[in-house]
Amino acid sequence: MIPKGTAGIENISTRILGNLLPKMDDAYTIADLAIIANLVGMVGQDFNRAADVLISDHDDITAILYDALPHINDKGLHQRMEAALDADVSSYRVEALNARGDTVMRVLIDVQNAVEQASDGGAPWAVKLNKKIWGFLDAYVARRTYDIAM
Amino acid sequence: MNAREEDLRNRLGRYLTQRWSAPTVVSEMKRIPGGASRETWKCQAVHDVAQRGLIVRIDPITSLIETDRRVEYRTIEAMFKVGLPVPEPLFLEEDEQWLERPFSVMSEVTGCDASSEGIPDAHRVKLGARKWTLLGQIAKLDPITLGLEAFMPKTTPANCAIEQLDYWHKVIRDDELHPNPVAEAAIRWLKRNPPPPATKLSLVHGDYRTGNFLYSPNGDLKAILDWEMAHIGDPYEDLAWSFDPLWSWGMPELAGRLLPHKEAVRHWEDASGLDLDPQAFRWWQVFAAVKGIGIWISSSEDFHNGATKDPILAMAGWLMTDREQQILVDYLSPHSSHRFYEVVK
Repeated sequence: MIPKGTAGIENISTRILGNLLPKMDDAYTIADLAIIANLVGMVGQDFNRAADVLISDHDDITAILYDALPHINDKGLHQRMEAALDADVSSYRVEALNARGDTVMRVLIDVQNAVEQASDGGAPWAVKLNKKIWGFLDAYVARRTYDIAM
Repeated sequence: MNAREEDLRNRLGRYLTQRWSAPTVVSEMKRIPGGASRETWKCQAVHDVAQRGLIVRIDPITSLIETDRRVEYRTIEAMFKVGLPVPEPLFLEEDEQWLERPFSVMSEVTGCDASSEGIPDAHRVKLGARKWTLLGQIAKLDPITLGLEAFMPKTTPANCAIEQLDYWHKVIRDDELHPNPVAEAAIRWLKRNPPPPATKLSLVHGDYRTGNFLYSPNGDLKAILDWEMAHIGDPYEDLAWSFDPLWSWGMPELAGRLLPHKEAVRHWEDASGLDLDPQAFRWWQVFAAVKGIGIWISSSEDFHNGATKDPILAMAGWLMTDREQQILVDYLSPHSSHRFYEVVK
């Protein structure tokens, strides 16, 4: 493992911006290198938070699916929800967590669609659950926000 | 000069010699940043006793958005004819024998900058007034009289919004590397809350924002660029895109980092003769963020699948998607503090 990975990656970005960029003399290379340095900085941020983002997402989504399960009448969707709740990961590699996350997220998207329809029909449980799903979407976005001066 | 620059210089010289029927020498061939949808090069061409600066836009192997070079070129031709500030179009060449890929050649608009971040404070008001006045003038044009239907898809005032939404929804579904719950929720909202029919059909630039025009050091707007997403549609589409908070990041009170939104709308209304309906406009603001996600996802897909290594596509795909999602939850979440909400009228 890279010791203190996030800091190490950030230092690479700083090196590009502070030392290499000033030595370039054509506009295209300067722009290219500036973008690469910022991308490296973003990789540093993801390096630190990737597992937390993916596991937090999964915890939030499973809580929503448990809440929704008694209200979803569509047989196919109900089965997919149960499968998503049973889904396990083969390892804790980010790649594996991502694969499980994608499967579960697709179920959530369809559940929110069903919840919205019930909410439009005035079902109180659906209004409440839709708010909870939006709370998750707020957190989903906040977890992925990059801190970058651009 | 590197090998690619030297090769292009020689090839372009042969092409221009043939087109102008006069020996032409190309020099100072340099790739310039920006114009992520095409490789953009700047050069000087000398023939007889004249010298002129040229901009050459070469089709990439892949690009930020899969656009039609013909639409871009023909639209610039039409705008040049009606006197709008665009680069003078010279040639559209689709025969790959010359540069191995299709390309267009335009006159260089000299002594200008295009940076949306670097606009001097002293020029903000002047540039902003001009920017939204020009957009109003574009909205006022009749696309049928201009002959745009010859190379753009036909649409109707009732259908243009949903057609655009369907188009960008398909781009997201086709190109996404993972499911996008925020974009999907926004798309469902847009489908459940359709806007009224367009008050008129207009030419829509498709990417009308502060970074897509050239301005002189004294603050004159000299040219509107990047017409590759131009189409016929609702004039609210361009206005909403120009107001997307993405283009005023860190400065949300100024549309496009130039003017308060109300002032921008006033200029647009004066020039277009249209009366903005804020309720209908709301739909187009949400749509703008969804369209943005479509563009950024598409660029990200090209980068990740190795079709290109251009880092601007990764930056668009990673950072811009993050920001458009922040904008969408701000617009639509019941828990939102509406930090991006600005009164437009």
